[in-house]
Amino acid sequence: MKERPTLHTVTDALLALEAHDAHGFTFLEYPDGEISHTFAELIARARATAGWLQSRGMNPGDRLALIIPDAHEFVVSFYGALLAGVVPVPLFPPFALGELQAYLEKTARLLQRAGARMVLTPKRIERILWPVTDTARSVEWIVALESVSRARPDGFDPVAVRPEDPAFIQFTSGSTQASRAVIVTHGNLVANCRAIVGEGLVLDPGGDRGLSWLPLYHDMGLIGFVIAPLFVPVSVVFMPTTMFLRRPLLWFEMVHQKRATVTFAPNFAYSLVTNRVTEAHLRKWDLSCLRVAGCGAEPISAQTLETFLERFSRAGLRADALVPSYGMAEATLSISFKPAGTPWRTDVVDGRIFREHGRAIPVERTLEDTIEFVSCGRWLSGHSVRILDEEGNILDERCVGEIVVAGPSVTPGYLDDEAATRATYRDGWLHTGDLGYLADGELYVSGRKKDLIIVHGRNYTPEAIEWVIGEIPGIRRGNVAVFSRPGPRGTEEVVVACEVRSNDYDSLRKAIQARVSDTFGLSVADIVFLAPRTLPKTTSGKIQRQRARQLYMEGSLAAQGPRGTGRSVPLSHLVALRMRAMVSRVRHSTRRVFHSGE
Amino acid sequence: MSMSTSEEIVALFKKVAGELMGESYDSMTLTSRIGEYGIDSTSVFEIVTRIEDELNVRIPEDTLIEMRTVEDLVKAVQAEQRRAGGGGLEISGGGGPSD
Repeated sequence: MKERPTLHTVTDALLALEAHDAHGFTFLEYPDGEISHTFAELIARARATAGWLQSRGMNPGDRLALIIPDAHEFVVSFYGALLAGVVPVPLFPPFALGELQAYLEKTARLLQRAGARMVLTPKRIERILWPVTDTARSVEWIVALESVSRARPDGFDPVAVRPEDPAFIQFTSGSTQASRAVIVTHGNLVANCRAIVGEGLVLDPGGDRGLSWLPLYHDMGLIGFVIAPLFVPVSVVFMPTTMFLRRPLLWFEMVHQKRATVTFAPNFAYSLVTNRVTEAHLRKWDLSCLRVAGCGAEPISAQTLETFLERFSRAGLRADALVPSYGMAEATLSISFKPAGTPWRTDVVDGRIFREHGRAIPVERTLEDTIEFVSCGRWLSGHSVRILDEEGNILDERCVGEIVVAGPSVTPGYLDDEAATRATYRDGWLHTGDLGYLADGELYVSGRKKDLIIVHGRNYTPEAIEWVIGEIPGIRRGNVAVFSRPGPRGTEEVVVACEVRSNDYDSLRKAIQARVSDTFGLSVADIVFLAPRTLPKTTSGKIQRQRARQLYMEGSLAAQGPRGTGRSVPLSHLVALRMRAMVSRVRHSTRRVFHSGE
Repeated sequence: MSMSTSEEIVALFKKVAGELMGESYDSMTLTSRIGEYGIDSTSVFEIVTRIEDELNVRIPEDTLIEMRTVEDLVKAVQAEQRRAGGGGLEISGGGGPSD
């Protein structure tokens, strides 16, 4: 094997593959098409894109927004930007059930925050996107991909790129008010990708092949399958996200057909395929090729993985293929992985001691009140992870506190948000806002300090959802609390508690569902209407979401009018929770614990 | 290919959504907004695909992304059936295309 030069930037990695035709990407097309390109071909097209960007006056450091659903076009545009030193900003395309106006407003805000100078998008999106330029003043061009001339692959002027230069901008959440634009540098990517493909997954260019349906505007799909493979190199099969959403079982059908060895998905996807798979599929498939069935981007449920494994082992899936992982955009992508070649682990702890004392004391699974957490493994070498208490003191093993991370994967901060950067990145440590504990040198993620809601692997800040609900006539603006509750099969569902002025509950309910669906593509599982001044607040008037959630889960949130959407917390669920006296997760569902209020 | 009536399509939608989501959608009508009934942007794809399979049509992705009400879905299905089958009169269910 030819010795690879030392790679300091992703641009180095791209240029190192210019003549490489032994590996590449395969792009599946729904329903049954596919097209493959070697890295040599992809990079040739990327060079042409880079040349085109330069000819249009895009300079190193300029931000290029990419709203590109097609994986092939996305990859070529993303790589092209990196070659020209231009900073891509992946944004999500219009989503189903969403309302165009809300999408445009949200996109305009993101473009403005990123200071995007150009937007590259297919014609069908370009023609509806123009209104964003009213608010997103930085945008000078919105260009349809179809008009990008890639005729001159040699018209590209190489640019000197340094490890400390921003490589791309990653937005952390799907909301507007608090969306954060994370600056990810080349150095961050090299460090994190090296760790992922090396000690994390131990990828072998001779034998491994990735398969992913993950959206490329999200870090797990983008960094995991578009950038990391460059450092091996390894081939990847890309399935359009909508292809998976249409027919979830195609995920494993293609793992089987393409003999994929590595795939990753959020917890909900494993739950979904477990629910849909049939004996016929399991008999047909041979999944022994899969070395890594990775799980990340949202809390991991032991029950989900156990059930998934139980069913899919019948198709030859190996138990040690499951790779629970933990990470976040602020740490580039990965913070920890289950160590390669080991079985996945869970920790069964005493429920009461956990909730009341913040300690994870292992007990027998058969006991009455236990919580089971999935280990997210060891953190990457060259990095440090600590658990801190509220005052910043380092806690011992099995004590719950905030997870903080240091190392070369930790990004420099948020673009244009000094306050948030100062609050999150302190003294060289990234304060994740997630709660967890260490045990036997492994990291267990047990909860979330922040109020973030995660659905289908995507982050949503409650403030953004509360804000759009507050705009509905009849709802008391500023008196809305949005939080999550455990849903079926390890998912999270959205709950809205709001004070109302009207008693037209039916219309209000419909209006809330519509606004949330229009703006976020989310559904609301339950809505609780409250009389004025009954939503828990601090003395300074700040909404106490966790307290509202606690009261809700106990059934003591002072609801008025007929209950929400008809999908209120099931009685058996409420009873079980009441027996445990406080907010906790029901055994065998999500293993998250929320600590109440201020 | 015969055209489905809007009643048939709505009934099929309720059945398929009910099976996939584990909920009841009996109260949905033609004008119901799909997003108001607990179906989100992720789940709607699977529901529409099953309906496409049952009725042997394929709705273009752009149309799917723009659908918001049950009626939008009905129109999309009927448009594809018209395109594929060259029209033809409805024999049952009353009347021609509902729009």
